This record gives sequence, C-alpha cells and structure tokens, in this order.
Amino acid sequence: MRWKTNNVRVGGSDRSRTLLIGAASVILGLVLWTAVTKSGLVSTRFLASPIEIVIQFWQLLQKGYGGTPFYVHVGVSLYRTLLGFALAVVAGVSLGLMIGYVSAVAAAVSPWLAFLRPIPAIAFVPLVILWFGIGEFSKISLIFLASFLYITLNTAVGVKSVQLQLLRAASSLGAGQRQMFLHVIFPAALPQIFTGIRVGCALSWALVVAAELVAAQSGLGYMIMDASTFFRVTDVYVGVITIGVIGMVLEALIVAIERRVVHWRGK
Amino acid sequence: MATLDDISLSVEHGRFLTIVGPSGCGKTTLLNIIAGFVTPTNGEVLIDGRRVTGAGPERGVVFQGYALFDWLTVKKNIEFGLRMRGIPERERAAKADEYLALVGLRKFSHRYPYELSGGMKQRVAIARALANDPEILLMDEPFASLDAQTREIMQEELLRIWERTGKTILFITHSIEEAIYLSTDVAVMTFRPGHLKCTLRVELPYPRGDFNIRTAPRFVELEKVIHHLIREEIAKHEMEDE
Repeated sequence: MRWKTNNVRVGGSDRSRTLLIGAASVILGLVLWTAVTKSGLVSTRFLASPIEIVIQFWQLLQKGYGGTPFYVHVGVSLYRTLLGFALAVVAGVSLGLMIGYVSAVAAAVSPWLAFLRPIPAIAFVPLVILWFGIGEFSKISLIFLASFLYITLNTAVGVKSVQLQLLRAASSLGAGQRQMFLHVIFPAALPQIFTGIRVGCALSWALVVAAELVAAQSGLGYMIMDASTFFRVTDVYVGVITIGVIGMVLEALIVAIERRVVHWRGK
Repeated sequence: MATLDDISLSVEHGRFLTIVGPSGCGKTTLLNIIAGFVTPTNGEVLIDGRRVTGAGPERGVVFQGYALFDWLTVKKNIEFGLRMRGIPERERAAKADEYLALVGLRKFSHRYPYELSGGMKQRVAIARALANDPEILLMDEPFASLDAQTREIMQEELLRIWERTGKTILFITHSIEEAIYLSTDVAVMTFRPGHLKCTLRVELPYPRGDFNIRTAPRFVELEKVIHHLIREEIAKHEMEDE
C-alpha cells in the first residue's frame, strides 16, 4: 500500500464559515421581521418594521427626544454606567485581592457575599431611592452594585487559583511577600480579573435602564420609559436597539484590551 | 502524606546526586522539604548545620511543570530572581544573556513561554534557576513530561550545563536509566517510612554525551542492580499490604 499526501490542510476556513453563517442569520432575521410587519399579522402598534426604526432613528438624531438631543441621552447613560462601573472595578478588584490573599478577610466577608450575591441589583432600586433620594448618586450606586460583587468574586477566585508551583518557584528565587503579591499573584490572577471586568461591564450597562427609572430626565432608560408611556413604540425600539449596539461595542472594547493585557490567556 | 525517616543526605560540592525509588516513597516530599516548600510536621531539616525555615535563593528549583511566569518574556523570566534581589537592570540583562546563551535560547529571548515547546520551556526554567547562582540545584522529575527524544536531548544538555557551571545538583526521577546516565551518585529510597536504602557511585567517565554509553556493560549492570533494589522495596510493600 502506498500513501501520498498532496498539499493537505486540516481545519482552516472555520472562521470565515462562522462569519458567513452569522451574517446570513442576521439578514434572514431582518427579512423575516420585515415580512411579519408588512403582512399585517402583527399590528405595527406592537412591532415596528426595521425600516421604520431606521427612519425614526434618523429623526431622533436630528430632532432629539423630549427636547434633548439624542446624543445627550446616549452620553448621559454612558457617563452613569462608566462611572458606576469604574468605581466597581476599583472597589471590586481591591476587595477581591484582599479576600483572595488574606484568609481572615475571606472568612469575614464570605458570609456577606454569599447572602448578597443572589439578590439582583434591581431589587435594590426602592431601597436606594429611600436611602439616597432620586439624584445622580442613586443611579450611579445601582450601576455600581450591578457589577461590584461579580468583579470582587472573580478577583478572589483568580487569586486563590494561582498555581502553587508558581509561588514556590518565586519564593525559591528569592521573592519576598510583597514582591510575591506584586510580581506573581496579581499578574497570575489577571485573566480571571478580566473575566470579572468584562461580564461586570455588561451587567452594569444592562442595569442603566432600571437605574434611569429613578426619576431621570435624560438617558436611554428615561427615553424608553417615557416613549412607552406615550405609546411611541418606534422610539422604544430605537432605544432598546441602541442599548444593544452600545453593549456590543463596550464588550468588544474590553475584549480588545483584554487580548493585549493578558495575551497569555488560554495559551 | 508521606513519612520520611531519619534521612542523612550528603553530597559533595559539584557532584550530581540522583534519588530514585518506588513511586509514593516520598522522593518529591524530600525535595520539597530540602527546598523549604513544606515544613515537616515533626522533626527538622538541617543543611550544612543550618536549620531550613523556608525557601531561599541558595537552593534553586526546577519543577516538572516548568512553573514559568507566562506574563514575562523568556529573558524576563531568567532575570526574575535577580530582579527580586535588587540587582541593577544592566547587570541583570547581562546575566540573563549569559544564561540564555548557555541553554541555547538566545534567539528566543523576547518570546513568551507559551510560544515554546516543552523542552525549551525547561531550558528557560534551568537558566532561571542558575542565573540566581544557587549553591545547589534541586530538580524534581524535570523531564518526566517530555517525549522520549526530547528527554534524551535534555539529559545531554543538562550534563553539558552541569560540566560548564560545576553546580551541585540534586535530581529526582523514577527512571533508573536517567539516574545512571546523569549522576555521579545514585541514592535509592525505601518505601514508607522513606529513608535511604543505599547510595551507589556511578563510575562512568564524563562526558557521557555519546548515546552508546547507555548500552555499555557497566551501565547495564548498574541498571540491573538498582532495578533489583527497587523491586525489593515494592515486594516488601506488597507483602505488608496483604
């Protein structure tokens, strides 16, 4: 028996195939959506067609909503989210590092975390209003709450799961406690910390609508709520879709940063 | 859990001592204790009369799993110990270059560990331990996860490095052939409680780079002797179990 291989390739074009199927799926979805709205099966009072939404989006861009330019609504929501989320990153990573590193801190904090973790941030809306009123502070603290615990837990897990061998290697190379923390534990935990940050950002952004239920005068959440009160269905769709698109962009940004910073992840 | 009996281990400066023994006899525990990674629940460890209280840069360690820092380049990995000890950057870089050359990885100095093969990773780990200029190099089955060919090449490399640097090496393996090929002395451990059964001198000339030495009569004879000693221990253990 003779075997001969000629220019054999295994695997390969998987990525372009994935992209192709994804694009086809989106196009098909939009076509179906348009067909359903055009056929009159569903009243346009409940479901706006994609074309209507695009036109309305254009209108909002030019005229704004409720006397406020559209970009201001977007900007205000982003500002609240990014501020609350940034505070959550700073506080969550710091607390997580302490929990992971100091077992006494872990013992003290763990029961609280275990209790707080299953409570969705949205459940705190009435309490936050009660405590902090209806100003900006309330909105930002809700967004903070949405991701803080998640970031804390991931950081703590990251620290705890640093390989024993790395710690041993470092100590036999002469690293002291402080150096160990700075040069081994922190970088080794970074991939897991980034997981917390990436998902935390999505959680914070997802909560912006709920946070803006609290007597907001601007923001995408306000716009959606106000439009639904006045039955401006197409505006609701524009708001919802904008939130989705911005969420995707934020995620892509963090993934890009993650790839640069923790380049060794998964390798 | 492993129990170790009174073990008195002495190795002369510049020699290559390998410990072999049935698996589970506590070879790795012994190395971890010498390295200062685990504190014995009972008893004490003395090195040259000094009590071991923790890990230290005078005992360099090479692990089976490489234990490289993935976020640092090859060169920065090698510099790690020097950096921890506050050696100025220029001196560090010079030292790292020297050891990169020694292990034949000069071209890879700016690569990351995940870009290297297993054999290359272990070269980095050896260079990292040596750059710190330890009194002794402790190696815990460093080639156990490499394929057979790479393993042989690494053994030859290690001998070359040992001859060049003149370091004292304590090496752990379960491969009798590896032990004989590398060492000046081979210590055989007994089963629980682990202690040293005996130490044999390997009277084979260096350099041993030549593959033929593995089939030399003296080599094969030693292999049989050590094989027999270990089998004795396993048999004793199996009888106890019944």
